[in-house]
Amino acid sequence: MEEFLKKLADILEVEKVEMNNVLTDFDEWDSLTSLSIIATIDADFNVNISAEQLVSVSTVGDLINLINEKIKR
Amino acid sequence: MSRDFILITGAASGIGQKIAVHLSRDHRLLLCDKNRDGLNSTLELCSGNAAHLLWEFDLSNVAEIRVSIEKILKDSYSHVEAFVHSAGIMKVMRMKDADYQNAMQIFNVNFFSAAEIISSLLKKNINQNSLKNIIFISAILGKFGARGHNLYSSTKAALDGLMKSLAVELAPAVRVNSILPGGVRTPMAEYALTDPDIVEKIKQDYPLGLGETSDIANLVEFLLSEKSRWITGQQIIIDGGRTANMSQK
Repeated sequence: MEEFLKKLADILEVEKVEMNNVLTDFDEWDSLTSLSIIATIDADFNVNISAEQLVSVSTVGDLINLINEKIKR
Repeated sequence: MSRDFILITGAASGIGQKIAVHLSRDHRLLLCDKNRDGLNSTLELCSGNAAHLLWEFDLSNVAEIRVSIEKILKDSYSHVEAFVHSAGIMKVMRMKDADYQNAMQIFNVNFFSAAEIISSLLKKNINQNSLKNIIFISAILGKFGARGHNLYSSTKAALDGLMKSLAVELAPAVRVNSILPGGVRTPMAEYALTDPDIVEKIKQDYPLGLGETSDIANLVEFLLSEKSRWITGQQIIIDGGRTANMSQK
């Protein structure tokens, strides 16, 4: 997950992301950025997340929880 | 005695599965996919399923394709008379995230695997000059652009470039064509269709609405038949009028 957080920071073009950061607060956040994040999650965890599901999460921590839930299924 | 097969990649679901079901009425099939359960589901839907072969293989392992296909053909005393490349993955992302690693993943499955399969099937010691027909399931995005489809569009454009050169290089023995579908109802698309905004946009963009997988399978059937004997080297668009539609939105 450490590696994914680095990639997430890279996509959002910030030094580091924190678990309580709200995704929509990042300057780089838009619909196309969210698709890049979905593609990265798919490649790294073999987990499919829809754009609708991504919109429903608020913080980086929520996103990590969503990925973990999907991995468990 | 050798037996002739039609090889279909991406046969476990969506367009590839429907093509398999259609062609199984009149042909022996070699069904390729990495998803074993999906392949078995396709086999159950096919006619005469005892005649068909399964090739469980992950096409992202391009370097192992030649050995694997040679083995399956030799072990089953079979040849491939036609190849339908329906396998494909889609990655939608910003260009600044489309790095080499992402590019290789999508190009390996969508493009390089097809090139390697064809290169293998053209070897006399593997396929005995049996190949007569090649069809790529490309996409209208290989000809037109869309936000975030940078790599995906490139793989389809690459397939179509290969198709045109092969149509010339391999004539008259082999006919080679690409089918460029627009939006087709697949399990993945059905998920997006729960969004009312997407449904409304499709109504505006597609004069004939979304396509069905059987629309693509019917065209494959035609391109494999003698009725299309004078067609080669073509990008055939099948999109319910999507690319003809210049209406103001």
